[in-house]
Amino acid sequence: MENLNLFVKSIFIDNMVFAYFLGMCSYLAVSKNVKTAFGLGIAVTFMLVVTIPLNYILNKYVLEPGALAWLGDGYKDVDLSFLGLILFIAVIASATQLVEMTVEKFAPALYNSLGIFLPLIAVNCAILGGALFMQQREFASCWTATVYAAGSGIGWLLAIVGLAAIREKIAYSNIPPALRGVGITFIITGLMGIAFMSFMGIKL
Amino acid sequence: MIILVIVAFFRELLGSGTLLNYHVIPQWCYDHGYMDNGLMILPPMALITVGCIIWVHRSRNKDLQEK
Repeated sequence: MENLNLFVKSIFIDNMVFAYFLGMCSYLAVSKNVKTAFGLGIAVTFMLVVTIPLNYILNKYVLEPGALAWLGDGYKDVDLSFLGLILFIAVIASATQLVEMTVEKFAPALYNSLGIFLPLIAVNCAILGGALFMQQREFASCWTATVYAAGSGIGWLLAIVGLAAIREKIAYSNIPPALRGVGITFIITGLMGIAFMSFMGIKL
Repeated sequence: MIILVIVAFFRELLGSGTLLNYHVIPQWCYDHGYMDNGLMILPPMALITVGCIIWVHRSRNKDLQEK
């Protein structure tokens, strides 16, 4: 099944954090405990699943070369793909604002623990990266793009929850004082990145 | 910016034996069995190098350490 292939591929082989190193800022800052990390992972996955189909429809009917043909024959040669970056960012920023308002109303504890990192999802490279990859790879249908979005989001979620779990456990280890906090996080992320390179050549 | 230059310095020196594309490791090192560490060129090593830079920096300024 093509879609199942794409789903597994975008979780492990094309992992947003370890294969493409996107979304590192929130990833390194929010991974102090597992509950907050899980909350942020769910938020990023939700943002991806909401914005990538919208961006796909925008791309297909407005931006691609020849996409504006539904307006009339005179518009068949118009190529607006250079506007992709700005329009994708606009869609992502407005969707982030909506999600932030929803989270503030329905889960205020999560809102307070995430702090500034919830609106920062708008500039999280993983979401814009997902949209640009979607534009570049030219998926066959909106459903395929949604599967890709869900897979990328779950890959990011697994990465951040894994790092949060490791960081919680190493609170009991004897780390040199100079490495505590950010230093050991960088080294752990580097090691996890090397581990994920083992997935690199797999063709499903 | 300075961090980028430092990380690139170590990665290029250890990873391909060159600096600004000019070979600095003499040939007798290669003859005695030294080999370029191809791992340093991979992206995750940049993260580990930044971790080491943080280690050195925070050892020298004790007030930056956490807890």
